[in-house]
Amino acid sequence: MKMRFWRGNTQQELSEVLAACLEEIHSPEQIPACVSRHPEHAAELEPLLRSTFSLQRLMARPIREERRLAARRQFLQAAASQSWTASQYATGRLPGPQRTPNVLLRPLWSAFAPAAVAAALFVVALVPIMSLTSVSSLPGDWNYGFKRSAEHVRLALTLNPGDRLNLELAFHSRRLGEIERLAADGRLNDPVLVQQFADESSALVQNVSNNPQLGPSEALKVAEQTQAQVQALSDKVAPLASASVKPAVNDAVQQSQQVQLKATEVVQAKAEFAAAHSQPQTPSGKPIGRPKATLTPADNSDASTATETATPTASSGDQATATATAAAATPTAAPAATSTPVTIVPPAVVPPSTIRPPSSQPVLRVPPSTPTAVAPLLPPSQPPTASQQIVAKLLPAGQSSAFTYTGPEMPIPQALASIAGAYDAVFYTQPREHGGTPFEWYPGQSDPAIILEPGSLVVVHIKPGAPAALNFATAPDTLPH
Amino acid sequence: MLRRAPADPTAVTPQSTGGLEDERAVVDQARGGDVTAQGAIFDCYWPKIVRYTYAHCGNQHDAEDLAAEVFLKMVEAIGRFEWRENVPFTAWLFRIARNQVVSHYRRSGNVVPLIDDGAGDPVDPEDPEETVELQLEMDEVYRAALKLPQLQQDVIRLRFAADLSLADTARILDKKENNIKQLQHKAIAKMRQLLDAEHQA
Repeated sequence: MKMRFWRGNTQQELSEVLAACLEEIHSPEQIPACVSRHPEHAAELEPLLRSTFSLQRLMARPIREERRLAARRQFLQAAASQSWTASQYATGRLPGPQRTPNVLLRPLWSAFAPAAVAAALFVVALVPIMSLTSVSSLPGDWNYGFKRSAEHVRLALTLNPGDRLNLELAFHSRRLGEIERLAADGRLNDPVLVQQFADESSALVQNVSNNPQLGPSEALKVAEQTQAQVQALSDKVAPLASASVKPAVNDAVQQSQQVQLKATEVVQAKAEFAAAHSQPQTPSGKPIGRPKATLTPADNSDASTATETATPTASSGDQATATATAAAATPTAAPAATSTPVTIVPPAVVPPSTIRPPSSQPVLRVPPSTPTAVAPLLPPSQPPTASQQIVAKLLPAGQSSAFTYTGPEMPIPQALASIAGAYDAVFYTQPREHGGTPFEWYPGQSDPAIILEPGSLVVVHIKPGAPAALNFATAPDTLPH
Repeated sequence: MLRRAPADPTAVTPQSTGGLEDERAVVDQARGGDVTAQGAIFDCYWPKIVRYTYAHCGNQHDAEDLAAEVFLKMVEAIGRFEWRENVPFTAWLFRIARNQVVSHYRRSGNVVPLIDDGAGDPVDPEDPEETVELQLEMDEVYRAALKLPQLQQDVIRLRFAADLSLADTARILDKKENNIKQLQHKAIAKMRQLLDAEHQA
């Protein structure tokens, strides 16, 4: 009995000494010094201390940086969201967190059934209302989460890569609008919002770059939007951002500039690939992902109305032929009884010479100067006026170059007359105001009457050999791009 | 002791091994919804929590997932955290971690976790064999720890995986420090015995 008591006492002492040594020393090299201070326990203490350091070494798992960063990002997003919720509690806009009633913890389906039915009815009634009310909500608003959820659902239901990209761009544009509005209201207090926005831009460009189903036109759209967002962040958000958010905005501007460069590279790479591999099937400018249309005026028509119908041809699923019954006496609509080439513009802008169909089909427009056969490669017909400027760009040989066309509205061969013969492919996207439709155009094979509108983002592939000097006069009322 | 980190999600901060300088101030800011302060807490405690959860489940992927869940729980609950004499922030956070691990095993029906195969672990390109050996040793330690009584397992995990102090370990386990010292001593001695036996076998 006495022996056991003595041993227990010794063990307790050893526990104390071991704990004290572990507090004192931080490496195995210090073990002998610590043991020498407790000679009465030396025999047991040393192996215990060595075992402890082995345990510490083996239990100190290496931390994977990639996973840490991913978890940190997720955590900060949750923190930012929670931070907003906490502020809502604090201001009394939301009821505070409540303890779950005990009845809900019981594993009885009957306890859940009425709640589930009520919740289902509530959701059914709420979804349309929330859809309408949440569109203009901002981060921090009570219905913002619903807005984002609705976007996620739409994205999840969109499988076509092009359509999906359009949606992503639209939602990304929304994020920018939200940041602008928050900044304008003095409510942009969360740097994570801005950081996330910049990260999403990078992800968009990466997505286009990685997806072979997305071509130069889609890449152009992203490049165009990235360009606009750099401008908006630096012009609209940065001046209004608070001191705590300003560094994040500046970082986002810099990151967006990098993304813009990357987007331009992607556009060029995709355009070069397309130029190298594409075999244009049609003689006219080909809208990507949209039906192509031609206008054939009929000689028997109603003088007061003009109608068009677009009929998909059997030979090409993505093309359509539009026939129009136009006023024979209307010189702008039908200058001749022969086939008249037209361009497609979306119904958003309706110039005087436009014939609007009854449905939401694309509007067919007769170009201002309608060539009949092969378009002459002419320089702009009018010399620049005092208010105009000559834009000059040196486009490197064997590469694709992107620029915003700010010249007057005219057929592509005329607009690019200064580099006639030096290019073999043109990819362009209409100004957003006109629908932002991407097109591709090939000299000698596409319709020479296709019009290039000011504000279009253009990628021209210059043939190998010598660089080409492009110049054009800016249009007097160049559309902002 | 290290300083607070910016809330940049990609920022690599040196806080992985230390505590928070002026933990109380940082935690108070985090309670008020300060995302930067919450990021600093994450930076400080991520390695500790991952190592702690790994010591429970023996699988790196599960450990990281569990740790991520712990921090999400922390964000949800930090607004309700109150300073109490016997429950400092570290103890509060590790109680969340402990509960999370317990509920994880409850959800997965007490399935014995798979031992990590080391896939995805950083490998020393100059000495891959050493990496493999280290992994094997880690597995041995993990298996041996499972053979200890529950309280001793907890002490080993909190003291040597999470690198917590005796005082914090005592608060988390709701024991006196003297008890923890004895449990620690017994656990180390038992682990040594188990690992020696395995080596001899």
